[in-house]
Amino acid sequence: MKNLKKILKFKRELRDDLISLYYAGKFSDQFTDLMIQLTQHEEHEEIKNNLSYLMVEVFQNIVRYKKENKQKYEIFSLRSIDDHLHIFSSNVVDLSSYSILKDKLKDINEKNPDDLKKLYLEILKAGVFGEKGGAGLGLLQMARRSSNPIQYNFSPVNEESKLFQYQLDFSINKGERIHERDKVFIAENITLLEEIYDEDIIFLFKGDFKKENANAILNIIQANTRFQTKNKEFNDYRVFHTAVELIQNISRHGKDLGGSIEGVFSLMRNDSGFYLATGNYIKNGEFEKVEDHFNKLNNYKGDDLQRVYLKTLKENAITESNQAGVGLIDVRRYNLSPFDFDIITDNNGFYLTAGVLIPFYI
Amino acid sequence: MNEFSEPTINKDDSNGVVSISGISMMEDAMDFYKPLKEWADQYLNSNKALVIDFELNYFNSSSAKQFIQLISKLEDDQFEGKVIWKYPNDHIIMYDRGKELEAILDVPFEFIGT
Repeated sequence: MKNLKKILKFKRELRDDLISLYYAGKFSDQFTDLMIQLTQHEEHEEIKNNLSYLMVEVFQNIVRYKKENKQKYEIFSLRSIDDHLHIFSSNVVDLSSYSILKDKLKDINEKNPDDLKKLYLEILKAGVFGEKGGAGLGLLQMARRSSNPIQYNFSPVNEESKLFQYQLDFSINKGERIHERDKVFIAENITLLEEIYDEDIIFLFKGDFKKENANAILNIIQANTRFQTKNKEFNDYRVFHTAVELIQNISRHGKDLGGSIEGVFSLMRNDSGFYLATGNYIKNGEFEKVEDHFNKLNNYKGDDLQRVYLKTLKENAITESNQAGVGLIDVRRYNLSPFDFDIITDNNGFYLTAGVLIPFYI
Repeated sequence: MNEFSEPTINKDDSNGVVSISGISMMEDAMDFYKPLKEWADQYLNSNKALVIDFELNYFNSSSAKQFIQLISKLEDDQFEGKVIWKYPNDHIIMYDRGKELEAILDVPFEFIGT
């Protein structure tokens, strides 16, 4: 239950977010399209191109500049709150990059849009690019296309490196400068995102659980849960299958809140295994049914699970619907660990959080 | 991203073989498999035997339900036919999951490790 409580806590912290995306998994270019998919929303239509551009730039910067070994607080995040989007990046840089970045950022933030454009054209003309593709030009473009200053923060890691964190803020109304009072300050975001990181969370998404998003999440999960143990195939399968059934449960049973089914999905990794957790509103009147279903599932013993799975699958096969009604039984028999679940109420109704540990060794 | 969630389906009218291969994890499995089940009904109107050839790396629980509905058409005594269940040799779960379907259904299964 300890893990599940974390999800509830972060759900509360992110309650005003239309979309929250937090990622601290493997950083490679294969993930950029998936991140973009997860942040697509009709509210972002007007600035869709800028959003994709900025996400790709920021994500690729982490990929390009990351150290060989995984570093603490390597994080990519996007939050969509009210009319504003906030792309956040956190990664470790060496001291030489630090001194360049520090000066460039200061310089860029002091310039007005016209000066930024002038500087941009000058750099293009001079053809001065840094060894790794021109950090200066990248930052300049970020400032221009977000139409807002870049918020940033450096903090010490060790004698050779600094933690470099920056945030791009922009409005869903193209070109609009965000008023001081509406700002999400980078310090607030750092506190929250590092807290999520410290809870061993690799990936967290809050948003619409439409089909395309569900598939993007599954791609991300699959790539970040490869086992190195001797039962590799079996273990990879267990995580993936659990994720599929939990996510599809949200899309099938989640309560429609004005045109979309909002849910939360998170992947944690700790010493005992991977922990998958979901959160979503359930339809009115399903409280008892859901509670009863989870209690039953948790009470089955090993052999029962196999028997109940086959019996239910056979019985339900006659009915005409997408539901086989065995998804969670199936998950439970592979993982053996019981489900954690909790149902709370708030303004939107009943909110279900459910999680399950997929142990490294069975 | 449909190639990620939907299998490839090949129907061979002349040999009476339908093959389902790849990954089957769509959310709306019922809609996806409806045309195939209709095709099977039609095919069995004028033919006696059908072979259903599976070569899957993964399927979700709602796909399992659709497989049962498809395969169970062959349970009718007037038809002959079988399921060929191909599974990756190193993937014991895909073999087990085939065995589970075999246990539920009264149709011959042939298992082939690939």
